[in-house]
Amino acid sequence: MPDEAPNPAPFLSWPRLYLIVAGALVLEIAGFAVLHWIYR
Amino acid sequence: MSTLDWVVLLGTLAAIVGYGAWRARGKQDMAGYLRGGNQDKWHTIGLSVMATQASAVTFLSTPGQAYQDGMRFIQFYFGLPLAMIALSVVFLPRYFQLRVFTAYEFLESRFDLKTRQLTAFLFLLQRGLSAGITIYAPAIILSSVLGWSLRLTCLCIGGVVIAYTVFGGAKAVSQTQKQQMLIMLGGMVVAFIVIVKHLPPAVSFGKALHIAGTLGKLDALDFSTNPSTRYTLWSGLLGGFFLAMAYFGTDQSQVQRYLGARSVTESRLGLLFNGLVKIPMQSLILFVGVMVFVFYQFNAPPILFNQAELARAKQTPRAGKLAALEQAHAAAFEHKQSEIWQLSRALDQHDPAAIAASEQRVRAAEVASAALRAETKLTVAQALPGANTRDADYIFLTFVMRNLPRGVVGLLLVVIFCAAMSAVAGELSALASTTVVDFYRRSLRKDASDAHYVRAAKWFTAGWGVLAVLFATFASLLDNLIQAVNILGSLFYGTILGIFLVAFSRRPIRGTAVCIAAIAAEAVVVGVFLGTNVSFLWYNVIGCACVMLLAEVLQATLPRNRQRTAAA
Repeated sequence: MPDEAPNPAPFLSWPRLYLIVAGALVLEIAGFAVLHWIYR
Repeated sequence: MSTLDWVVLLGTLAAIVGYGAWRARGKQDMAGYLRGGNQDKWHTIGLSVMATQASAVTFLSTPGQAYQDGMRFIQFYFGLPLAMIALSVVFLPRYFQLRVFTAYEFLESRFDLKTRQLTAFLFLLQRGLSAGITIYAPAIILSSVLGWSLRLTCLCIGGVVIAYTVFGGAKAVSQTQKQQMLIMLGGMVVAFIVIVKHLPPAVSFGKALHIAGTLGKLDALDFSTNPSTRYTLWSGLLGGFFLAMAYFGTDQSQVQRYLGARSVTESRLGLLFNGLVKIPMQSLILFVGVMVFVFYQFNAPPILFNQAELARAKQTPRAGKLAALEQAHAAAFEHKQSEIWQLSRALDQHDPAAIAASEQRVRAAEVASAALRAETKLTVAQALPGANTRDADYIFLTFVMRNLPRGVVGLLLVVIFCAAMSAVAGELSALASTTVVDFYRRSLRKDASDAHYVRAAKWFTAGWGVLAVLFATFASLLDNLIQAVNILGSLFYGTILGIFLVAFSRRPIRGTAVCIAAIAAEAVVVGVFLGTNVSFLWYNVIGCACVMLLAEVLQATLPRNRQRTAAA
């Protein structure tokens, strides 16, 4: 079992990938807030 | 069910199982059988991790939950993406470095045998019991709505899963889960589109959202700081984070999925994929429930979705009252529907004053309708003491069977079966690997051949599968036990996570300190469970924090010689 294979998306470093996942969460929460605000 | 539905259901299930068996063919060694031979790429890992978590109840109950309470359940998943990041950084490199078969193996290398086997035992206890519930929960709903035999449904789900899990091991599980997850996602997208198309022509999607929002079904966020409120933004973010850390990081049914990856990189990408896709997927399922709710604003819903219990209650002296309630409910529906059409017209005219006035009347009509449903549940409960009047689980399947076209019904039943099978397969494979690796090979037969352990793993998979089916078959006799099993997971996860976090982050702390801390923390969690009404999501935070703090204190205060003995 290789310990570390090359990242299949080398233009994205791990910190950037983590930031994308966390950023998506922030956007999703904001999306729910907007949905609630529009259709309250 | 039509012939087309049967063809779709049986054909798809047979194709998936056949594909899994074909992919897992050939000679198997222990690494192949328990870890899938480390061949999986990130998309397989991501989808199989999601499929393991998504049980049939996810697809049966979640839309019903949205129908009744709106979107707020989504908050439960807010901590998950952050947990995926933390696991990718902290847990994964350690597991891969030691090339473990189970998460608990790592604990022996870090602490001692007793910590490893205590944690593995806790896993076997709660996962072994919950495997039965994973079969029983959908079987009871399917048998009630479709009129199938409960025992036969349990046997069918269990029998098929046991067959391909025993035959193909972890590889068959991951490969089938990948297909199953794709079908589940596709099935829910189809369901969503079909439901929206079933709304009256004058009701656009935007208008449907307005109606749902007016009746509080789109309130996804709750900022309350009350710890007894089950789903809030804070309990979701913090409690959900610890729960997801514990579940994905220390529960072997999940750890086994990503240990099958080609590398740490593939494993990490799989978990991050889960972190990205989970909330949109759950939102889609909840949205399906919201749209079913809107559908039933224009089509009369049954007063109680658990029709079997209602029919039984009508055989008792309360039949007269139930008939009167049904009449009142039908009248309340007519009134509410006319108010909703008025709201629809006000929306077309873009008249803010008329919209606001109409919204108030629609809300009042909904309160009246909900009160009649509540009274019906109470009457059924009085007529049949012990009856299941919580009908949220029955809403989606009832809707599907009564309203969706032929073929789509079969597809959605495939979704439910796929979900049940994927969750059970992951559990059985993990139970077998923990039994073999952490107990059988470690303490009973230390020097047997690889082939011997593969045979043992197959027998243990079959054994756990038979136990799960037996438990599911007789679960109706053990209602209180089912509740206990559901609570059991939340009671232990925080403590188990605490043990792992101490292992990863506090090098000086030894096995004895962490073991005593874990037992004490467990007592605190049980105390909180018995003595307060704090929401279960917080148990994970409390258990984890207690283990970490107490281990620190005990390490500083325990006599040195006891610690050395434990370390040796």
